[in-house]
Amino acid sequence: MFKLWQNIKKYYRLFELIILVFFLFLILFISSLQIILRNFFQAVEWFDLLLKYSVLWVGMFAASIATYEHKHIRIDLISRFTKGRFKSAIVAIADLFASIICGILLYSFVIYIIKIEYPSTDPAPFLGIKKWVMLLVLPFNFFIMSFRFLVRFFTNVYNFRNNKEEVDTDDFIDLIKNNEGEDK
Amino acid sequence: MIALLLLLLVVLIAIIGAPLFCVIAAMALINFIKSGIGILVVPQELAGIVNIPLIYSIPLFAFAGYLLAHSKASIRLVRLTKAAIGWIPGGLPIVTLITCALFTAFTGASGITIVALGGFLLPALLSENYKEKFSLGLVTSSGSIGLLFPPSLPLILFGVIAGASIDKLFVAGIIPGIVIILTFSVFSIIVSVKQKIPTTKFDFKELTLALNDAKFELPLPILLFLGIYSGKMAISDAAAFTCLYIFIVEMLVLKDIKFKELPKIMKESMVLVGAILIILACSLAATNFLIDQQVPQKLFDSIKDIITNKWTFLIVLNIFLLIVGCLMDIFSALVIIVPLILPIAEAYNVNLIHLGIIFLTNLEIGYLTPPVGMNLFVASIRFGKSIVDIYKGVVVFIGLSLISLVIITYFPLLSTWFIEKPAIVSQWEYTYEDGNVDRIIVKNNGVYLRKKGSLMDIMMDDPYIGKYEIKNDKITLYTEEGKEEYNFELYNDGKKLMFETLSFKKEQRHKIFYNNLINPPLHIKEANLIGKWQQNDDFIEFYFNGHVNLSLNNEDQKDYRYRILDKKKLEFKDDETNTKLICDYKFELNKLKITINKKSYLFDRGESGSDL
Repeated sequence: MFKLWQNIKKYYRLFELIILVFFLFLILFISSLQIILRNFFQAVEWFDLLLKYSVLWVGMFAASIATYEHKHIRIDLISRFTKGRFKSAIVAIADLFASIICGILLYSFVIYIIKIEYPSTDPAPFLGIKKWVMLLVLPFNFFIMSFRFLVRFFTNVYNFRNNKEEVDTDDFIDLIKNNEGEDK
Repeated sequence: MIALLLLLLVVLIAIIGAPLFCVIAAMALINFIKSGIGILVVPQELAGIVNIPLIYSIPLFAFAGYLLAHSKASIRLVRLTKAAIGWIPGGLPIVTLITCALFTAFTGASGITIVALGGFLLPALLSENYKEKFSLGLVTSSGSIGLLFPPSLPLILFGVIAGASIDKLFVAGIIPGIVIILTFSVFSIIVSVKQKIPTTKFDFKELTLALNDAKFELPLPILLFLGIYSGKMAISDAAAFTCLYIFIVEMLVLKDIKFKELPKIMKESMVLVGAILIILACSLAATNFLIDQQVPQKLFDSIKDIITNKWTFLIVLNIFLLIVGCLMDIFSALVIIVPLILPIAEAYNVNLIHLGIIFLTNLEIGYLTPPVGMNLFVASIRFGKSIVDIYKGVVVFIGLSLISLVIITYFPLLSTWFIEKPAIVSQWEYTYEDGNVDRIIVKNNGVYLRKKGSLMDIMMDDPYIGKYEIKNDKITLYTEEGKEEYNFELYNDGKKLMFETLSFKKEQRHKIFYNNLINPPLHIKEANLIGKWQQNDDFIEFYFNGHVNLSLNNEDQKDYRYRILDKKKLEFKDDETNTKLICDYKFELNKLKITINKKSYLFDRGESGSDL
């Protein structure tokens, strides 16, 4: 069971990284190509739209990675100057809050896409791909982020109960496993 | 009441360290639910991030910066500057300042400068017998010093959020950026002379070697500079070009970075971009709500009696932004604060570009101020010193930054010297509450045309034609009954004209804002051309709408569209035949000299017809 969890985590992170690398190269390639086309031939109009949506995809997957890497921008006036158990408790509250908000955003996006974007008859921005398909990246990553914040929340609750300070692992299952290893 | 409590709760959660994007999204959600609009607006606004112009330059510049940071470019850069200027007193500190500034400009001040450059600059400073406190302070505060130089990410982000021209911001930041470096440099020279630190000798051979070493990277800033400032390269092009150039040089030519490392570098840079973009997206929902609720207007109304002029406003703004800089990092501060301040700054007639430079200078200081100054923490970890030691080191530099801030704020020309001044010569319109309109056309030759009344009257009636006089910031309009006198000022880069009635009592003065009907507003140079120019039977007449009518050598009148190319050249375009004609122009006293096909004509200002 633990092994399966580890594998899912590993391969999903790899998948995220592949998406990131792919879209970043795509942005670099298309924008460079567009310069050449614009100056010497004719610019392709939908390239600009492709660029915009690629940034959305890069941005959302990157935001999702920032969640497990603990790299989101915060105003952490209090948690920076607290220690030990208390810190775990505070961070747990913040993570639970973040998880709930991402959940609400996920919910609002699902409704929004089903009610407004999916039935929309606007022409597809490029290559026949409808706008709602491009927007799916938002609810998908809010789901992942909500889940990751929830896992962080449990990790910190675990730390709090065991009198430990928040440590930089994003996964309480890792932590339990590690502690078991230490105990033995 | 419940909503207020909820908002307070959200602020509390922000302080305990919830991700900022969640905090902003929560505010937007609460507000939209409270006002009954419903939460479906939130996803719509969030998805609106794709429509922000130039958004894709952000990942490109960030990736380019991280590539540079992971290559050995920093070592080559330090070697080159050291060879070039290391021999003057305070040489090494100045080398530190310049290299850090250039490096930060490209890497976007994410603490990476201290990590990449600090590691060998600090030991070098210590080995030249600079005191530890000074060296620590210098390296730490240099970590954000290049924010004002292109193509820094915060500069681009300000342009994106404020809707300001990024090309102009790129030019505007240069002199203020140099001011900061100069202030620090002067201090460093004083320290070095006081401590009697020996200078090194200038070594020409080393300079040529260092130049050769940096021969691939050196052309980039030069090409960017020439490309952007000549107007040949748009910002989006510059982003792609920079990224591609650095990619090719560092990966393929110099092979500083192995392909194996690439995914890691991409991830690192994109995590920063993701963290910024998601805040930007959420703030689109939150700030639109704040603007719908007229929060900036209310803020302005509450302060306008206390803060009566631009200069006091700027003092208050600086204090406010310094506090913001203490509490927030630069990206979230830009995203949240800029939309709120923008309308207020416009009301005080602060130039948008100047505002951007003031914002960034303040937030640059925010990198150094406790409790959340990022440079302090990065330096503390990088150099293994306690935060308190770092604090002690940077205090002097915060003081120096404040001096630069005052200079940058109160000498707007440092950032706006290249921006052409708008002209009063234009078509202006003021609409009364009852729908009546007051339309004034200000011409070049001291003549104005004016119509007042309903829209119907304006269509039908002939305008009143009178003379006007301008003295400094006072305008006198001569009318049938006598004269009207006002103080005037052009607002928002010429989009609005303010007339203030003159009165000895302050309470009796009031301001009227006329809107410019010409869009984009004319600058003084263009406005000078407007009107009819005559010489015997030849004439040339420039209109507000971009058309020009001319008749030379007794030929038939011809209609062209004109465009000012530069200080000397005009372009006439014939719409029918789609041909272009380039001619020279020059103002000589009150005359206009135009050279077409090597033949010159000298015109006097003539009486022009109606433009209404």
